[in-house]
Amino acid sequence: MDVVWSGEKQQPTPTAITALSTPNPITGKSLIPVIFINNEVIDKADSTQLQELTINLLSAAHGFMDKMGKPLAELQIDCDWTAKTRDKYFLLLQQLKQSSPATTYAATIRLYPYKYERQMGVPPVDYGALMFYNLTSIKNPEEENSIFTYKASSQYRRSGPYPIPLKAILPIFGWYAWFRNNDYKGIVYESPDLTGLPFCTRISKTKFRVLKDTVINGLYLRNGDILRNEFPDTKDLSALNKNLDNLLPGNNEVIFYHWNESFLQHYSTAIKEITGP
Amino acid sequence: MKAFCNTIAQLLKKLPALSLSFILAFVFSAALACGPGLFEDDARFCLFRPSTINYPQLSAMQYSQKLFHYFNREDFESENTINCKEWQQVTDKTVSYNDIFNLQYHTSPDSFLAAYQAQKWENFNGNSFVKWLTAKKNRRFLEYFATAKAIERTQDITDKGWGHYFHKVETSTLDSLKQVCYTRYKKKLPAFLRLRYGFQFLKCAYYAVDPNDQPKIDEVFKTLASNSSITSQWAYIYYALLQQENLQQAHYLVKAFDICDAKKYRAFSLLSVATLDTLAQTTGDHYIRVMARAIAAMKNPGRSLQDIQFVFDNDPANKYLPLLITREINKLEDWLYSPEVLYFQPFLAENYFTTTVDDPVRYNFEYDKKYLEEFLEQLLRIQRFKSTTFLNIAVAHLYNMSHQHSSARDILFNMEEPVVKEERISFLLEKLFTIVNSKPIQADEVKNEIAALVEKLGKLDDAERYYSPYYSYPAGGISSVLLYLSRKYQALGQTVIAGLLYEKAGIRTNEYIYPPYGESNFYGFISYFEKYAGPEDIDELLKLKHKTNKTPFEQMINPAIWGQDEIYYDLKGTLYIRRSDFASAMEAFRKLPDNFWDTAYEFKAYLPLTSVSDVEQIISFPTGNQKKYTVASKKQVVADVLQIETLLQQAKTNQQKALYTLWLANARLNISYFGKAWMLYAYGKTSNEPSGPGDSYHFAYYYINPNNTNNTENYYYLKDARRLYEQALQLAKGDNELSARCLLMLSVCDEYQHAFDPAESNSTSTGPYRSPFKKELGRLYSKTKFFETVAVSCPDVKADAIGSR
Repeated sequence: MDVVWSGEKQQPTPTAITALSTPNPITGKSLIPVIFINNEVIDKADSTQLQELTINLLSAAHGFMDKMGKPLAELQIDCDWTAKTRDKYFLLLQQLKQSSPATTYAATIRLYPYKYERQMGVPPVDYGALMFYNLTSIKNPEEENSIFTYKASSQYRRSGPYPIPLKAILPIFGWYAWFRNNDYKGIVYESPDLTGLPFCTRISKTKFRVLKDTVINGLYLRNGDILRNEFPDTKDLSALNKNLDNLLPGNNEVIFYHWNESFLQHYSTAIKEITGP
Repeated sequence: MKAFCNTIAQLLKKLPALSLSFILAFVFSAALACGPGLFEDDARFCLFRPSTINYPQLSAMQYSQKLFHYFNREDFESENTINCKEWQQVTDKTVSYNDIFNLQYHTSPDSFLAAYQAQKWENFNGNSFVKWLTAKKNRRFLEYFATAKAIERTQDITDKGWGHYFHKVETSTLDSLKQVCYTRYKKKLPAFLRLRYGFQFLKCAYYAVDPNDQPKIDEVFKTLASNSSITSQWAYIYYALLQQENLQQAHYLVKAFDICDAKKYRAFSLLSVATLDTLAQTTGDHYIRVMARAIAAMKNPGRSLQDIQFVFDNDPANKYLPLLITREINKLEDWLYSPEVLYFQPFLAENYFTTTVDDPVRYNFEYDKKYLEEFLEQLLRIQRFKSTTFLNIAVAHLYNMSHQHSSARDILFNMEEPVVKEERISFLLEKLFTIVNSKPIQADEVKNEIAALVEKLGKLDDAERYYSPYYSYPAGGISSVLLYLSRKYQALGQTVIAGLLYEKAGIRTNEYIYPPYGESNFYGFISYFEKYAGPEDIDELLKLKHKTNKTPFEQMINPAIWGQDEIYYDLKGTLYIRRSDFASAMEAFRKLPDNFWDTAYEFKAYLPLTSVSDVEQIISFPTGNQKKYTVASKKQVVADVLQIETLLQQAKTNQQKALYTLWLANARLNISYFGKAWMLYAYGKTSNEPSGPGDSYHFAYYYINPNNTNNTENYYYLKDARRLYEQALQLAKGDNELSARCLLMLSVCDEYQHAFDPAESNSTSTGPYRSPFKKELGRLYSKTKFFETVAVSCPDVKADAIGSR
């Protein structure tokens, strides 16, 4: 689920709640619920609301795991905190731990706070989930791939280990960044390869040009528009994987984001290579 | 020198686009560091107003680049309102509407049910509806209300903690409530209650699914569907959702959309284009086929002419045709006008004749013009079937768009001015649009005609709503026409009129222009004119400001707030500086008090106090005439430049000429983007200059518009400074020390000139540009005292000069 700030109610509000089907499709596997908290929530919540939020987060996590018929062993919090919201966010994480000490806690960490830990702090959790995706600006028409390139991730090398254990989250998702005359128009969600589709033609390794006006998912693509494939290159993922031992010494676990049948198929070879036999 | 080195290094690297803007008049919110976050419709131009006279509920389906158009729920009667009014009717209007609403929608099920079960209503004292419900004769209504609240409680989890989101609705409770509702529906109860029990049964059946309920569901729906209560509209939605088969569901949702005014938006959001297309192709029901095509057209951001033709051919009186037609017109306006008027995308006008038809921008433009013709033809066909006020205005609008203005005029000027206010506004707007396009707008009588129409529009009650783009953007209307008019006057070179109209329109465009929002807002008064005006325009502007017997048109464009005269004189002088006419600039500045720049705007922080001929801030070496200014003042800087020019004119020897030319060159470099006196030339500064209009999301960034009056070659590319440095170097031959200084400054100028070169800034293989003049400096003048001093304070220059880097 996500937590956003409700301007109307002036409080944190849950949204995008996962709809669970029955029977439970994930049997025999361990589950870790992840809750995304919009940074605005941390910024605007006062201390009482942070306390309530702690209770609500645990209630949501327990409710979810009850539904799945499993105990709450671990909880991951996803929040793009800033230097300004750092202290309050870390306080929230501490409160979670205090309220449910038996639970293992993880927090997502972007590459920027990973590199600039002095400014951004280290979240007080049992381990961090290092996000190797959404690294650069999607709006830049010169960008190769705003989700992930090995080169972009290399800019965040740090000297010395990170103070808490880390697990890498590798991207196995993608989309198309849509441009018109170098203006960013939005994201087009389509399958990883548009080759052969009649409305566009490949003009480079990652770019397709729209040949005729087409409506896709309610978006009006026009002749001349450019779609930039942002599905991470498997070679880049492989390169990162090879370096993970250096980047995250002692790490023996990789997380993939996110679960989607067609993406899993597309990246099946890469996943097998990364996870090993 | 170190400062120089760092400055050059920073400029020549491709940094992230961090803005250094000092502009304070920031009306629109924008994230400067990452570029502005525009909503899609912000970059859309719209003139033709949507027609929502009969169907305000269709506001959400108007054309928008978002999923749904902005709409105001208060514009039409919501289902909640209708429900409460029906309850009020049942009470013979003895009960307050607000009390009903509060009990229905602002009272938690738990609190009501607790009172009901205990039969203790103290907490509801003062509520006339509770009083009515608890009267003995109304027992059955109370019983219903309690049942409804009990059903509501099964879905109300707000007091139960977030964990409850993952728990199923309490189906066992719902099952029993479902049975209760059906039983009571079948009883001999007042029709009002039977219908409501019927609805509640359907609702429970949806949440507590049981295939055995289907016959009951069909039975109940049949009863509810044929009545006029709000329960009918609810029933349609639930009955649709209860259909197992996708197309069946769509069938009923389509009906719900058409029949249920209060549920149009809900039904619309539940229907997908793919399902609608399949339904239209497979259904044998003519009505459903037409409706499916109509709704699919409402969801289509591309061309929908075929759907419109289909709907018209099969149901000429279809009530959604005005909506579909409006949408199509708004799309054409977006495709044909948005770039040209708002500048948010690279627009065609500048490069129409230089691009081939293969260029996508040109190609799409031609394609859209052709589509406009096709659509107009279709609309004429529809108009021939039945001429209505709406259609006549729509046809006139399309005539105007396709430059057949006399045809537009014929239609409008033969129409009676409508009586219905919304139609009247549309009519007057179209008349205004026609006049703008078909008459000589420079002529006084035409100007006054325009003023009369604008005044008329201003007096209409909700004209402000359409005047301000922020109320329901972009709803079309007078703001758009005024902006359009502004562009027309600008094309005729009527900058003063264009600027004042632009401010009046108040529409965001892809330019760094902000209308003034208060007396203290310096830059707002001149932001348009700084971009487009020449010094002569400022004279005209001031003349208008002080004119006492303004014509109606002049009154119309007259701003609510004028800036002080000094602000305009400052701009006038600055515009002369941009023309390199320092003498005329001085004349303008003489009208200002000496301390003007010390107190106004941000000048004090950004005008130098050391001579403009001195570039010590770049090369850490005393240069120039060592003059100090007494106060931050454009006047003193310009006087300094004029004095150097005089010295140059009077110089006798080459050495003297070289020195004064060098000072002048320094002055020109300082009065540039790179110098300490940049605010003599500009009013702001960003790292994205000099991209200018045509780039996306540019408006948040300040830039100098390269129009006829602005010499951006000097401000960004140091053309005159370069020329003067080369001249100085020539004149300094024989004087090694002076030559060394000239050559070093020439190298500085040379490197600055490459700062905005895309090829240079994109090059990662060769690193930042290094001027070859530095090598020449090392080769020819490494033994001079000047070089020795420079080499100490800037090792990078030395390294470049002796080729060790």
